[in-house]
Amino acid sequence: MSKSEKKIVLKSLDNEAFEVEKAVALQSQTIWVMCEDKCVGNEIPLENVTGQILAKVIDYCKKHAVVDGDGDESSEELKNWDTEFTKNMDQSTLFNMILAANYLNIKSLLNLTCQAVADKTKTIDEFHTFLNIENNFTPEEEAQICQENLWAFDD
Amino acid sequence: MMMNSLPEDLRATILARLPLKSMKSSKLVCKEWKAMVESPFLRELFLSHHQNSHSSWSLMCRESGNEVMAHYGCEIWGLARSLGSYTWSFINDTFEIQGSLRGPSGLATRIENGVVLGSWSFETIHSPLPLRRLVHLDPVCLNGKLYYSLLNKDFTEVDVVVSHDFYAEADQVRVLLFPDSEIKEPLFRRACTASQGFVIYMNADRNDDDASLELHLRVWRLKTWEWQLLNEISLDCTNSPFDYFPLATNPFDANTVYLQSYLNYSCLAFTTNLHKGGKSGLHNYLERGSDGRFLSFAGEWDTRSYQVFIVTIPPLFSRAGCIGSLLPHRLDQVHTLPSYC
Repeated sequence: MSKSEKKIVLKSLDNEAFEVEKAVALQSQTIWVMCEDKCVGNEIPLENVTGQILAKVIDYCKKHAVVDGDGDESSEELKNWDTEFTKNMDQSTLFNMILAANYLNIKSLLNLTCQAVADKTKTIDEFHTFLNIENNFTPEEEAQICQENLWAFDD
Repeated sequence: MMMNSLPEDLRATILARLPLKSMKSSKLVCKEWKAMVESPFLRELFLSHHQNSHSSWSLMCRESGNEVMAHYGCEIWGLARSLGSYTWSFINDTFEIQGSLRGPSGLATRIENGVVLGSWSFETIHSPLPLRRLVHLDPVCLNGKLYYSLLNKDFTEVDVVVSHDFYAEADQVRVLLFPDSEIKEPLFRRACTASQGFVIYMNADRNDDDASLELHLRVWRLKTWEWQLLNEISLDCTNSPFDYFPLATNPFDANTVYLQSYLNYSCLAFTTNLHKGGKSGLHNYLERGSDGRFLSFAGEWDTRSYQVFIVTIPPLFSRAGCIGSLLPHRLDQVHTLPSYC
């Protein structure tokens, strides 16, 4: 295999091109299937992912490809890296990462980002503000739900 | 970017990662979320995501509900503090206890149209056999029936379980032999409990003869008045200074067995999971996990009192066949899990 065949170019929605090792990109089941089917050349257009998000996804894949390869880093270190990775992401980035992980079919990244959203949302107020969802219950409906689910609201 | 612009399956994936309590309270977010929280799809997702975790539990003395022998909490399943106070406030609120207790007695509860019914009752049980009570086995409550473990009074040492339905019009009593009633040796340590809507019977004996010390544990369930052997395993006790006694099974999982062990006259609790070919996992003495799990012990426990029972948080949306050990306000809008039928 020549050197060029080991590399692959991922092209984002906004036409940003990323050259990555094939082993890094193939963590995406979607890309793996595309390569397997030989339906793409060395350049893969990813029409649902922006360059900003794709850069982060590639960061994640690089980190995890290295660890899977030589096993130098302990799983503890990798866990810490994952925590740091999602820690300062804002809400919009996280949702876009979830969509990207889902589209690219990278299970571990999907798990990580979904868990990150869950960890940032515990109370009703956090649901409304962080998740940007409007409450569409009447006060009467709200009271009834509280009554039916008493244990969830006490300490 | 709005959360609601995520496809529904991704929203459910996020929701299933919330602790049970947050998930339940998230019903208040909006109508669409409430529908999702109550959907069977989310129930399956939550259970599969947390299949390696198990619900929070407390071991409590019957005599004083606030005294917790051991308490296992897990943030996922939502149990921040011990269950003692919850349970005792519920019992005092709901039941009037009149006069002094004597003879076989117990708290018989059942669910009717989603409402927990209960009664303290004094009844004379008429049995076709002369019986004497086996003190160290407590009555087990299941769907309005109490099951007593008794010894045959003619001292032939034939052990039986007697069941009485407190909600039936007739004075119904059924007598049944234990699956090991005919076996004289070895002497078994025994426990009767309820799990997944069945009466569960366990016996254990420890083989001290050879170099490898093993505890043999067998678990049966009572189905249509016949004992079915569910599990038979050997626990390696070679490196253990403890001697184990079977205590109870998890009300929602007959494969999770709680054992007690005496050490310096105090009591420790261990959990053994019988899944996967009898491979057992014992709780560490103290356990703290990054995911909010913890195990605490009340320390000294009066070993003269055998009256211990287990209280457990029900898994999400499960129907409680074992209502005796449940908190009623956690039974909101329960659905039956297929595996529990």
